[in-house]
Amino acid sequence: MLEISVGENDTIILTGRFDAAEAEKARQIFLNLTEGKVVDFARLDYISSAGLGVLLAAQKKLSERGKALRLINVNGHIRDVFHFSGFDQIFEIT
Amino acid sequence: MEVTEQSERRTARALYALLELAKALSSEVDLDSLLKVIEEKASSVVEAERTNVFVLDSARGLPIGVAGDVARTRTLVNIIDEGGSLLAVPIISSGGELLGVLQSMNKTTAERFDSSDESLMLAVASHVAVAIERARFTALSIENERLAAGLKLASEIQMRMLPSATVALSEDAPFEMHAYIRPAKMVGGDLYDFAMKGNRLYFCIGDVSGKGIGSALVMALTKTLFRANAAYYADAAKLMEAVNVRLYEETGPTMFVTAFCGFLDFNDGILRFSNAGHDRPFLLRDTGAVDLLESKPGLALGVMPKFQYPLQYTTLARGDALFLYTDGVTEATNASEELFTLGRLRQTLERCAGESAVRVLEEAIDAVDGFVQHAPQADDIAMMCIRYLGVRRLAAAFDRSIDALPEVMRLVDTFFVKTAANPNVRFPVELAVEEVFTNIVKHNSGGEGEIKIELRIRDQDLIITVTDFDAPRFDPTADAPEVDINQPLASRTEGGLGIHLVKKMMDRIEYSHGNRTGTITLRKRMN
Repeated sequence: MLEISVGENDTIILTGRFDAAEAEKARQIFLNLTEGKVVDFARLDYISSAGLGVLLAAQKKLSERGKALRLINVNGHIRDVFHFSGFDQIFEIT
Repeated sequence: MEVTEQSERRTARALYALLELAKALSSEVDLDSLLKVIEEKASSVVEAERTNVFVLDSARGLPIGVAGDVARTRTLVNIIDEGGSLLAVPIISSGGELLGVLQSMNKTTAERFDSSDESLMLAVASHVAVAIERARFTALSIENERLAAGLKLASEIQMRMLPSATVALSEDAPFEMHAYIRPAKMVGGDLYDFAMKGNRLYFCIGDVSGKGIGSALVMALTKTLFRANAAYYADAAKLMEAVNVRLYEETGPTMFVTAFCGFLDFNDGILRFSNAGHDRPFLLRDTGAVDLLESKPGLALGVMPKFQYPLQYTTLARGDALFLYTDGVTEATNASEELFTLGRLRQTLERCAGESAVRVLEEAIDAVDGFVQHAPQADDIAMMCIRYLGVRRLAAAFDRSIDALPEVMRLVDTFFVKTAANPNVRFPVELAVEEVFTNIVKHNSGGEGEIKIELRIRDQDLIITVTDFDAPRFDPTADAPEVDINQPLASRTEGGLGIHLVKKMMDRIEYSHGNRTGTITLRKRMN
């Protein structure tokens, strides 16, 4: 399961698993974003290419408006996934 | 003078006949042919009409008439009655045993047998005694040889009755085991048995009271009863009871068998067992601890027809091993009459932490042999070691739909819970399984049937196999688009990312296709 909630300072908080079973639901939310956001990965356990795909689509759409997603608390295996996919080059990760 | 000449001629003829008899006796070994020769030659020695040899036979008892009297009194009889003359002497062995009676009738050259006939007859009787003894001994040694050959065959049959020491196990089998047996004589009364029963291993070890052929026969019966009943009973206590009832019926209360039997469940490591008066097995914990398995010893098998055996259970953790043995191990005796003892066995097993079942048995055998040295083996020895390795393979088939993904992930979850798979590789394994599965769902949505996913451990590798039984050839390792991870954001697409990550995170990826079946095999090293 993936839970998407909004925390302090409008931060998007991802909790659980961002996989193919959850990607479509998340896509609706991420593609409706019009402002740049901080996405907190602290409580995210897992992400697959389906999750990356949603983030990529959102990042592309936002970049047309000169906006971007910024990722925080990206750790462990998830950081590897961003590295192996080169997503660490298209997302600001702090 | 004439009398002397006649008597000398007679003596010469008699000696010649005696010599012939001796020659015949030394060449003939079959008792019946021997008796014919004796009867013929003895007649010419004492010039009798006919001679009979009565060989004493414990089954038939003493002969009747004069021969019977001779046998009873062990003294010579030389008489004339209305039937004619008769000379009878006892045949006595060098050890003083009465072997029979030699009896000649009707002296052909005189009215009755004289004193020189008596001497000659006694001489013949002593030759006959040697010949009978030799014939009997020869028959015995031939019988012994036959018996030895029979025993060798029995020994071979007995060993063949036992399953071979090690089961041929697949590399991802949930257990490993080894068994060893060494009878003290050609045939023995120790036994073991084991067989796979679906998700469980059935096994038993036993020791028949006494030694020798009787025990060996009961051993064969017991092993057969265990194997046959194990097909019907999944409960160790019920199995014990079934074997006990039949053993009691077949052997009566004089023979008994101590035994330990159990079923090891591969899925959870639960060992359900029952003990019929057998030595308690050792538990070799993966941690290195060695403990006797707490078990209530029921009555030995074959003693009481209706005995309720206790069913007990314990749980083996991954790597734990059960060591079973018969008392021939703990009671193995050296030249100073010292026993090997349970204590020495425990010490030996404590040195075996982390060893394979084969090595554990080798160590135990070496320890016993090293202790006993050249003292003769007094009792049969049997040992068995079963190590639970835990589940090492899980597989399931899934609907060709993204909706099945949570179920797929549950399989992976179960695998990591139940097996010794290194949790550090869980993330890449989950990712690889998801990517390969969703890839098939997306690119071969028209395929028929379910998609099979199998996870297994082989040595230090975790192996994932995903099979699509209705697929055109599509090799994701070669046919999927290459992903340039350095592209600017604008030219990036989502395609190919999944397989790209799988290649990055797995150590090996292979694809095969044939008969409309596509298989992707992934390997991840766990160390």
